[in-house]
Amino acid sequence: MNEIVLDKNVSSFQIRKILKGDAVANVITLIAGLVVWEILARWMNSVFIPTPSSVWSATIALIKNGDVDGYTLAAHIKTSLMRIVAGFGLAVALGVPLGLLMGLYPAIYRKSRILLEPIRFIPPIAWIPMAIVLLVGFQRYVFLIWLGGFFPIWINTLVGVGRVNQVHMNVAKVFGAAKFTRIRRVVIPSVMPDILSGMRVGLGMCWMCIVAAEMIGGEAVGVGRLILKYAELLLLPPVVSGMLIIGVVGFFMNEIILVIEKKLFKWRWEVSL
Amino acid sequence: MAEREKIHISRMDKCFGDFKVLNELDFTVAENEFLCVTGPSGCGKTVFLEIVAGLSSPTRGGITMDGEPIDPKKHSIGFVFQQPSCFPWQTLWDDVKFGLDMKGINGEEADTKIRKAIELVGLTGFENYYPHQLSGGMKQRVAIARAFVIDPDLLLLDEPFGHLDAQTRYFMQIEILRIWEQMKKTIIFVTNNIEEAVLLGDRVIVLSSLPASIRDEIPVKVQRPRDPTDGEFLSIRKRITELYEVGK
Repeated sequence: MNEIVLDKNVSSFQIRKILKGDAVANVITLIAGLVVWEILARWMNSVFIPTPSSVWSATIALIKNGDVDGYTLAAHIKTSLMRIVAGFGLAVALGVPLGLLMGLYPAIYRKSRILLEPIRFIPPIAWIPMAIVLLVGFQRYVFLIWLGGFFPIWINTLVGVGRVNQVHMNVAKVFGAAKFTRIRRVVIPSVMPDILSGMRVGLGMCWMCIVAAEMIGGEAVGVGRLILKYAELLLLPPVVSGMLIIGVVGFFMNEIILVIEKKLFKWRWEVSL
Repeated sequence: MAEREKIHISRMDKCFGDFKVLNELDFTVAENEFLCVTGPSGCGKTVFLEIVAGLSSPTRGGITMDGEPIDPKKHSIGFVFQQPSCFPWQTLWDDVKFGLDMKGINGEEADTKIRKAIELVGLTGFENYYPHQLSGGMKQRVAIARAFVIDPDLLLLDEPFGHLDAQTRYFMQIEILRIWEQMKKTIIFVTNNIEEAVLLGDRVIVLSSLPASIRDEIPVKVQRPRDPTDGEFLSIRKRITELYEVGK
């Protein structure tokens, strides 16, 4: 047969080549970013503008000696991460099944959207006072993080179900597949990419919420609290340190989702964005 | 050819609201017959085939297979869709396996059937490829293998080669005939390509434009393999073309 086939080895080789090229470019970008930061900081020449080196030593100090209350950076990260994992986990555990349910039975969504849609537009930060009144400690943080993560995951799943290719559904129907089988073998695999992208957006929202919640919540530990502590003291290097920590931890969590995506979606070689 | 009646379509109408698509379709298909259904584009051929497959129901009239109302849960129906229909998340092997999974066939028996079906469409060696790594013609052959693997009582093909280039299309036509001769199935093959219909069918049903009714049934008695430049072939082709023109 005179047909052109994408050779598997060639394509994975090309992907590897692209990734390798990207890694080098990213290191250069990172260094360039630091240089620009250093130049800007020196040019502005203000005690309030931290330089990369002052942030670096503040970070080392936070790791070694802890903050003004004695909490180390590791303790802050650990506390925030646990809250994120719980809240984000709950958002996935509720967002995916509810999105699937309402996607499969759009009548449920149509008849409840008057309640759901307005809630979606209330920023989780606006819930903080209510959360303080209603909940305490860990639960409060989990609730606020869940609020941030739930809606993107739910909406993405819901919309994804609506976009399932009808031809694929018909293939299963012609083979006599029962509804549950069609969901398992056609709907869920089709919607998986949407779920994963909802998770990535949701994760970003979760970090936004945790920092706000920790800033307002009373406990002395958590990355958001760390930032606020030093902001009140007008000590900017540890503040930037806290900011960067959030960025780096968020980045790695996102990378984990990307790795899962690549494992799950070998069939979609464009997913690596 | 066995003349036992396999499919009976009786006075079938299909309306979408006030919009009538099918008008009193009434015909039978014999066991192991290769029936081609043709007609001007947009005349409701796909709607007709979807009703036969049990994907939608007729407004009036009915359809039986072996004397029973047709039902995809009970009957074994293979359907090759006009649009690309391979599941992008599965390898070729798993895609062909899909129908067997639905029928609850697995293990050694399933493996043998899958291997045979893949061989039949000439894709041995590509078992672990994903659809995005295959060409359009190969994907359509996967869809054919998937429809054949369950050993269907009835095979429905909806303009299966419509999206293919002329050369691939030609190969596929030869291939589908070879598979049909080898496996002896009842086939309903929908196409808007008159030459294709005459090349493949034991009989050609010509539909009118909307609402579709049967304009004529033409038996094709030309010896296979058929030569599209043969006189009898050309005269049948001309006759069908004239039937198209009457509709305008």
